[in-house]
Amino acid sequence: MSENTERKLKASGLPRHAMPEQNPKKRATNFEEVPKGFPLEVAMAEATRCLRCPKPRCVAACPVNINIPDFIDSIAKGEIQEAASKLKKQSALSAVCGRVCPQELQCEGSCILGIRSKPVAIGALERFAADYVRENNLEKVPEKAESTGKKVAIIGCGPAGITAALEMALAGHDVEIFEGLHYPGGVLMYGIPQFRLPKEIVVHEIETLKSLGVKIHLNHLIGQMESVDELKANGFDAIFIGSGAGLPNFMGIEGENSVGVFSANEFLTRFNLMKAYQFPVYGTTPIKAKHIITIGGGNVAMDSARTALRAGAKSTLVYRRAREQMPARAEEVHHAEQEGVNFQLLTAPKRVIADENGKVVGLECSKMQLGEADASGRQSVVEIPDSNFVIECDAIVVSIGNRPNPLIPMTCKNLKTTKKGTLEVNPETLQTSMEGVFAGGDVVSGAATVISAMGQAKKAAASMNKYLRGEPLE
Amino acid sequence: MEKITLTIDGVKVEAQKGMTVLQAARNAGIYIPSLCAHKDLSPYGACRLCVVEIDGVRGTPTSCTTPASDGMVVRTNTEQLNVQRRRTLELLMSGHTSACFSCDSREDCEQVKPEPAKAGVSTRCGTCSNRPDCTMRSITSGITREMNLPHLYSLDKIERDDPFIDRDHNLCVLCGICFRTCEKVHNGKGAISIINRGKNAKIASAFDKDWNFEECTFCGACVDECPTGSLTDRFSKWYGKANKLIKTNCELCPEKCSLNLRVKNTRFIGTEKLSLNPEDAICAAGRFAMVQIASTAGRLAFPYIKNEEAEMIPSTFAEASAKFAEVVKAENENILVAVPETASNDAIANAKAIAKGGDFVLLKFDAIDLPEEIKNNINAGKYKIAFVGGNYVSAELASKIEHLAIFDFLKSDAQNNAEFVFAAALFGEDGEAIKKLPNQQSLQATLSEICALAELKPVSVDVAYAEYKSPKLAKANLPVAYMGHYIADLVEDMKAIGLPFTKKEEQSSAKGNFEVLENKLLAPNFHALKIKAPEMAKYAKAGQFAILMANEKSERSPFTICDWNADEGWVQFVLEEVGRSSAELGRLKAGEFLANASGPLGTPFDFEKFKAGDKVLLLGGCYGIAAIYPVARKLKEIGAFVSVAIEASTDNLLFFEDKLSSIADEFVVKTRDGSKGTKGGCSDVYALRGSEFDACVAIGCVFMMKQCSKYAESTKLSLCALNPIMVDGTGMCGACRVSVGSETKFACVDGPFFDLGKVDFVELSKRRTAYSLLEIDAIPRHLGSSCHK
Repeated sequence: MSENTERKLKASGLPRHAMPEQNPKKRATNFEEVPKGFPLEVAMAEATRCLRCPKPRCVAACPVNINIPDFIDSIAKGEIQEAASKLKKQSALSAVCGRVCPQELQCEGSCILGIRSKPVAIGALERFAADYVRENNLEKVPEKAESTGKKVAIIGCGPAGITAALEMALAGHDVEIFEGLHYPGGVLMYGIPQFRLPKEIVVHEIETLKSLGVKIHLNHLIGQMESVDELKANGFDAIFIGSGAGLPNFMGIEGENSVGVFSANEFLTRFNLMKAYQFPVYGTTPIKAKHIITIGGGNVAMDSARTALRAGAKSTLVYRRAREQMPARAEEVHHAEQEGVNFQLLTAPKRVIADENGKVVGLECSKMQLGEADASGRQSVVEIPDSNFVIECDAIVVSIGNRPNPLIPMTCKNLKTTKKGTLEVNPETLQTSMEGVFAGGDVVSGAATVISAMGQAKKAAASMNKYLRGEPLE
Repeated sequence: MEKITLTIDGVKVEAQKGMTVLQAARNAGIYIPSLCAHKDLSPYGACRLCVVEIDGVRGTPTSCTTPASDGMVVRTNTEQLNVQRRRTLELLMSGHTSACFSCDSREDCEQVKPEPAKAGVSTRCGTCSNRPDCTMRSITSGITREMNLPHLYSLDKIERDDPFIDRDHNLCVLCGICFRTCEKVHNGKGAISIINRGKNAKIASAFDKDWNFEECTFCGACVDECPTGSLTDRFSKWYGKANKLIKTNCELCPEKCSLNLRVKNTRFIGTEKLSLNPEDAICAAGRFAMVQIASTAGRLAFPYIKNEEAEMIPSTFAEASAKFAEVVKAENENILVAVPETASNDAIANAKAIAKGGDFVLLKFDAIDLPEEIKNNINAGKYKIAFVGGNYVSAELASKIEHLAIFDFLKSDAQNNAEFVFAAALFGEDGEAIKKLPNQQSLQATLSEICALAELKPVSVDVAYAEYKSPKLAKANLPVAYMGHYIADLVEDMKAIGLPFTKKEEQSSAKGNFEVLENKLLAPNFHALKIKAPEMAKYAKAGQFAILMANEKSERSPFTICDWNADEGWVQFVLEEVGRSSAELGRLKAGEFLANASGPLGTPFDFEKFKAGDKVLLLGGCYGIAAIYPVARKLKEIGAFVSVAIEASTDNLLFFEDKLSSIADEFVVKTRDGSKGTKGGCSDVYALRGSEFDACVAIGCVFMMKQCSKYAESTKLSLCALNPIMVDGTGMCGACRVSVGSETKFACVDGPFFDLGKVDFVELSKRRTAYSLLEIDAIPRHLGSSCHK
């Protein structure tokens, strides 16, 4: 038997290692991170499970096409610094992606081991490598190419903006980021909670960017200050728009403007970016309620429902479809349930009930049942007649998605948008209707994931490099 | 007692001999107004509102100082008396910040603004913490709304340098209730009195020294009795009036004084003495510290039990007490139980029973540590089981006891090494009236539950207090600790009284990014803040706003950009102090830095709708006076006829008059009390002259805009600018949503300008009060805090 075959046989027989997690009862009362990460030995052991497939399906399934077997191989050999360097070259935010990517739909979902046994814990290994070098000060800042003298403006300092900035900085361009909020990081700071993504990690990634010479302008909202046209006129050779999808959708049901109905953005921003969980040391008021209902079934809804628990409330999630249709990561749904979020599935909100002071006292819902599958294969839902009932609550968090902020296209008439309000781009080059202006992330795709935004940003960065070199884009 | 009969206003009434005419009248249910009469204090005759006419008596004697006698004929309500009372009241009020008393819209306004703004200075009822409980308001509404005398506000600086008590002499009418109360409570030895004469007269300690250095014991009696809001409890004042009193005993020292807990809608908001009798007096700890201890942030909400992985897991009271009782059952010796001597008799009896054959220790009431001998025993590994009723063990000692239960109300390091942590319910929280979390339990309830589950029988214990001196009589005797925590760690102002505390290293905060060039007080509570912000100045347009944060821990709050200069790179805001964020900004001095300024934000004012010759009416109230300035300036540039009306409650709250009158074609001033310009508000101008104009823009408080909206149809175009609660100000959070017509709009991106006639102002005012209670909790209310000026 060849050495390789032997290794493969051994690897496929090993069970997948699970990350230790904070006890569910305990973590539901604190904002500390839930999974605790692999210790070195466990990470190395898990890494040996990888079969090093000659045609790795995981790489193809990764939105940023990380050479997964390659970095896992380094971990298996105990060369963690090497693994992290390999990752950094391919992903700006591996410590983040290892935590928030929907791996079960991407790399791990296509891992060959998953057919017979369980896939390699790729997410946990990615996270491990990035954490290990960060915590032990072993991180190597990737080398920058020689300066090109070209100026690049990046609008928005979220996952897309950070990725594009890193790629462009490494390519030797002068990069300036314009961020509207008072803190960089975008959704990584204001949206994803501390218990899922510790903010120290985001801060660290931002520091890496700065160390590469990237300039970050905070409190600088493009569209209110310069328009995209003005940025061009001010000497930026290329512009990347990664302004995300920050405008919350509401349901348009009766009573939705009552006191105590929040968008998930507001609810999460208060707790995350503004640190309301440390009120009154921090001045931003938290949401204090006995029973908080979250409406929606995506990752943001899970984040809200779990934050509600940590704010000391009873937490109920109302979702109009069934569990199988929930767009949230499987791990988040599982964690939410473990922690005690009460799931009210196949339930559609109908009306917010308020008292005489305009404060929320309940949510009227109706029961739904699954119907025919639609063209996309997703089962539709139909209302069960006369099934209305009221859930008593004193706060409601609406988490049914976001749209892009119209500010940038509004102030730049040459930028074309779609009916959904997203920017129109060439799907191959990610160039917008304006030459030299590229876009990626949620502003293009509507509200999606961190990693898909990063994937697009990486792709856009490649086009921008071509553009700046004067090469044809396609 | 001997009965007498007298005739009051034609009605024969019975009274007891020795009563004053006022008492006799009140006894019979006849109302005579009075400010200085107090049922528990001797007559004083200061306010002269209780004047009456008595047959056979010359002039109009004060009924509070006139003894009632048999056969007396008294009139309380003649035209002459009413005129006299009105005059007296006007004189009293001319020195009091009383604009709201004479405002015709007071009731409507207070419906829209159900709670007073948490302002730095009380300039009127709308910014006065005493509003819910004000004697002045009830008196005036019974007598007059017409105040025709000139206003002579002294605008004295508010005295905030003493622990616990703020003193605002602008509100004082020298009724003398405070110092008479002080004398009565302290057996004739009062610490305060009236000093100086005439207009300079004020309530003070001898030689106007800080009260902290004088005999004042901070019993708070004066604060509780003050009818005007001049003397206030800095911590509790904004919570409003209690709607329930719960009689209980203080647990802070062996004196165990009886006192009342003030409760408002199941929330504990303060304490007060039972009566003005000297034996009911309480100390500073009882009066001011109890509520602050109970309000400490980070209270333990539920018990914890250590699991097999040595993690502390949240649990329920039932589970924790049952498990601990199991442990106790299995052991007869090697048990330690330590509780404070101030615990209830039942708690102590139960504690002793749990100790069984082991050691039972009663800790001195303000101990912060266990006795040396016990510590040595712990170090020697003597105890297998321990129950410690407070924060008395170190983390190291805690690790040496196999089964340790700690009962406390705050987290501590030692708890990580315990097996059980019980969450304490404090002061009356185990009753029905005060909202308690289901898994917090009082010491007594916890111990008796454990005792019952462990099948132990409590036997009562006699407690003797060694070397105890009552703190009622001297500040020096105040308890220094409660349940093993220094009181001054939890109640900052106790440090000023000299109580010990744990020294903490001060965290230096990062320097902000935006330099303050000037911060000018325009009027009480109103600041013109000029900051260096070249980028913002470059892009600012009339009508836009910015989000400001005084420091990294501040909220993001929106403020209108009132002026700017792109060449010089500055931006100016006019902000009104109404809570923590605005107070922090108001406190910044030139040369200091604010952490963040994001802007310009919002859709600028649309000047394209205007052309030369258009007649525009601009209405400004409050911060709106400043907010209309850039709009007026630009409209003037366009060549429009600009008519400006501004309003304030009273003359000293007006500002920008020069700035506005120099550009306006017409300039009108309205005050709610008529102290300057004409009496009324901007809506009166709109009502009267709206049809003369092509457009109207109203910016001010929600009430002012709501009033104006009634006349929105009199002009072709009518706009208002809204300033609801925002978090990001860029369209992201949706906190600022408002109903305009049948649509929901975001004030931050769709606004701030909206159709005046279509905005749902009632909904807006409700949404603005969403955090009213938390806004009080947010304000640091101790000496030298970031909001304390």
